[in-house]
Amino acid sequence: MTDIITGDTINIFGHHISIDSIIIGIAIMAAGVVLAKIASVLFKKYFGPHFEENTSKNIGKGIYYGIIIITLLAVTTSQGIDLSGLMVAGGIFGIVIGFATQSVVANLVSGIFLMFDKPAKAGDVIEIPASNTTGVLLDIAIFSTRLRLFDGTIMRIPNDKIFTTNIHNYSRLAARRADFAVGIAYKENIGKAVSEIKKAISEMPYVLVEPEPMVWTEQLGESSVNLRIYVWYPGDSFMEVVPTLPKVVKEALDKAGIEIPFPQRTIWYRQLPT
Amino acid sequence: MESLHNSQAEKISKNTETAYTLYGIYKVKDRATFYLPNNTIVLERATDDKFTYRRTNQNGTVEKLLSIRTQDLEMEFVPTLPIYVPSYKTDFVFLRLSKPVFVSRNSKTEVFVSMPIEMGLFFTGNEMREYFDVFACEPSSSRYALYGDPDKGKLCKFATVMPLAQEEMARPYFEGRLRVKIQNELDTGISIGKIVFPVRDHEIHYRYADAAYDDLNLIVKERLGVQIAEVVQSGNMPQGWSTSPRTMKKTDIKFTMEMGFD
Repeated sequence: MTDIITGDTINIFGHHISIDSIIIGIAIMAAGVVLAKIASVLFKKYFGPHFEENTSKNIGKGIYYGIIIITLLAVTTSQGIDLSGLMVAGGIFGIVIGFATQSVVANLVSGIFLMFDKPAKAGDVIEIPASNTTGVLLDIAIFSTRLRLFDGTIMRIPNDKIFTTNIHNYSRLAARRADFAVGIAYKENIGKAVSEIKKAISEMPYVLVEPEPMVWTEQLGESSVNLRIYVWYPGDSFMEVVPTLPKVVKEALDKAGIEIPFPQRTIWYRQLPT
Repeated sequence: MESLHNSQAEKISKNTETAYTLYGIYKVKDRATFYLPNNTIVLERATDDKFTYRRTNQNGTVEKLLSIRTQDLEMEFVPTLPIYVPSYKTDFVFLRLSKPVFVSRNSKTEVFVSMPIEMGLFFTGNEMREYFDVFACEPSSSRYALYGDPDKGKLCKFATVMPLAQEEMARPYFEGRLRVKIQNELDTGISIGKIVFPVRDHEIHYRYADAAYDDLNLIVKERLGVQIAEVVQSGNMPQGWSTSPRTMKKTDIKFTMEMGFD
């Protein structure tokens, strides 16, 4: 202990630094922390609204930690502490740590690239087909991306997974298309069925008038003539159209007396001679 | 129910088969009933500073409790932009002309269309206001369409309109008049079959049960070898008419139809 503290100086990495100087260093560091916080808050308040939520958050963090690091360097330099020995040791240590934390670095780098690539922004509904996940993007942070799934749970996904996989973004489109198939009995008039279906879906308020809904005869199936229905709807109106569409079509066909058959097979049998 | 600004407001429209309430500013002391096509609105005092609001149509009843700042309920019943029903999703309107308008090369013309309107109920007050209810007398005609591609195109409110050579009165409570001034700067004739524009910059003017939009200027020109149409609103308030309150700020945007107009 007497080797570290001699008189009114402290030995740090072989340098004797006065206690007064240390107190000044601590004061500079405290001021730096306060300045970093103020700069970060001011950025978020005045400039943040001009950026996307994620970008704003990350720039705010960058400003905060940037000022802290600059202050730390200023304090050590002002105290005459030579960090070159530490840096050499840090370099070797860094290589070891680098190997051990490859995935962390990969997530960090992917996070930075995602901020520039911007495949989605907070609030967008995205699907990650590789992991069969669909949800609302909450934020893209430095290391991970958070989604709120439709069951209300939060899923955290490492950034390198997001960066290297396909993403479907459902929120950036002015309009989307939905389709589904329905079968009608062979005895029914196809033209009448198509007309009734078109009439019913054209009354759905969120089904677009242009491009107009289409109904195709898709297949002459085993038990039914299969029709496929295509409708366009506003990009954010999935819930107003897709879950309702089959109900509307079935009700229209029921009302018109058009049969939707179930799978059936005609069996012929031969009477054996007695 | 009494009018604040003019005696006409208390009268009932004679333009329609049924007697309907006219547009205007109203002061409700205790109870008032507004009659509109397919809708009836009843306002009734609940307490000193609250009114109950009930709007009934064939789909049911919409009920609200209105908290007021003044002693009586001072409100404005006006035509408003057709972008709120069934829900607010876009500022753009897509008018499909039921018959195309042909404009000769380097010439000007103007046509008149009747474009849908919605009914807005506002508290009186500042220039920029929030409605406490907005609805369409014919909600089945409130539809959407896409102009352009799904990724870069515009989602629009849609209406099929008949272009008229002369101005005619629009259907009260359903439509407002819109004059479209078309200028063809090309060396070839053009056929206009659709008009897409941001409607938020348009003012709606009203008198009794009649409504009219600001004019729309449509200039067809060529840009980088592509025929485009620039559309921009221009003010045109008829004399003796009032202007509906705005719910959003003007942008003075000049929209360009780059994805066709036929």
